[in-house]
Amino acid sequence: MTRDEILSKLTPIMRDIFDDETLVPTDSMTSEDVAEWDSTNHVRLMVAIEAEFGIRFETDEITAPENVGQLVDLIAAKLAG
Amino acid sequence: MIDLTDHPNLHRLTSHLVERWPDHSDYVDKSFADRTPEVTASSDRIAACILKLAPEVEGGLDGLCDDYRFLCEKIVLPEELHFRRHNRYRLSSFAEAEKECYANAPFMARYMNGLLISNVIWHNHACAISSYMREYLPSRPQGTDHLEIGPGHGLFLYFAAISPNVASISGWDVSPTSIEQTRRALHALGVDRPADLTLQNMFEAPASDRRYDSIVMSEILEHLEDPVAALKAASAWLRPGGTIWVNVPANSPAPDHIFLVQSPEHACELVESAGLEVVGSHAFPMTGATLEKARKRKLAISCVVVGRKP
Repeated sequence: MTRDEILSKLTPIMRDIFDDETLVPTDSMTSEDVAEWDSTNHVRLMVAIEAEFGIRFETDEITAPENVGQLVDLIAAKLAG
Repeated sequence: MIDLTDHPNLHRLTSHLVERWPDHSDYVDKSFADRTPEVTASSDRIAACILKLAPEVEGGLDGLCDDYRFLCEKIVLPEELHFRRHNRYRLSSFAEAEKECYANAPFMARYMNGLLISNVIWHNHACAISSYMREYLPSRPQGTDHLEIGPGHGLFLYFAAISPNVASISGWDVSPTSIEQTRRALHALGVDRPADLTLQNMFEAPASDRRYDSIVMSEILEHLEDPVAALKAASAWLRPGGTIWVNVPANSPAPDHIFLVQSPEHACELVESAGLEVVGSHAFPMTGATLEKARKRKLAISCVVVGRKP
């Protein structure tokens, strides 16, 4: 799966979790850019990603990504691994 | 950062916390942006208590703030992950919680210190204790005999102790460490009236003629396998017409939470199942969430229920 394909699948998940139908994720987007991106919603996001992509994050991977780009990279690495 | 300079204790506590943990600034702002002036005023009084208690704690205010961060990042987050994956709490028996948490004194000390700060910072915790301070305690009848089961950090018992309508204060706890913590807290906060603090398991309390007009169980039921049995045991110590003030979180994972309360209605059902009449209830959603959103997403809600013994 390419990075663009991952980002494309990520978009509806992020819109649902953060309750914002206009949200357009970009590589540089961080939690500071999204009003509802707090710690609880971050965990909800990561668990929703696990279900959608069929992957499982380690506990320390949950908080590792500092922006959407790093999150996409992490998903790509898990899919490849 | 939100301007709390009108509330000097809150200002000092939150400034110190954000200095120790800058990334928490947005969360603090969000939590205080949603509060009514009355809740903010209660939070200032609680912050004043915490600032008085801080010198008693190892590491002082720095230590308390660091333990609060430890609570958020290292204690709650992994449990939140489990809860979201499996839709249930990780542990389900008291014996497991005892082994993992209660028997680990250094862990429990940090956990309890973190929770002390959460009474100011977490929206649901702040609203729950504020409702106890502003609504429940002032409406108790003159001469109330008041018991708290599991007084822990001592804040709830302290506010009962300074209530003019409360004639006597008592506390029961199964942990000698907790009893000592409550005793030290009341002393540090300047309570000079006698407090009957007893090492007592509520299920094994010896028969006595002693009865109470008011019993508080704050964040106790979620730690028990059978909360209805606990409420029944507690209500046996109430005088007819007496009240139990229950504060129990719904959808709030923690390593020692073993009973999952699903909703505010579920919390009321527990109280009713114990033979008590529900005469008041509140539902306070977690920081940043409306009650509607918290229900929909199964986020933490502090459920306050006042039950009256017929």
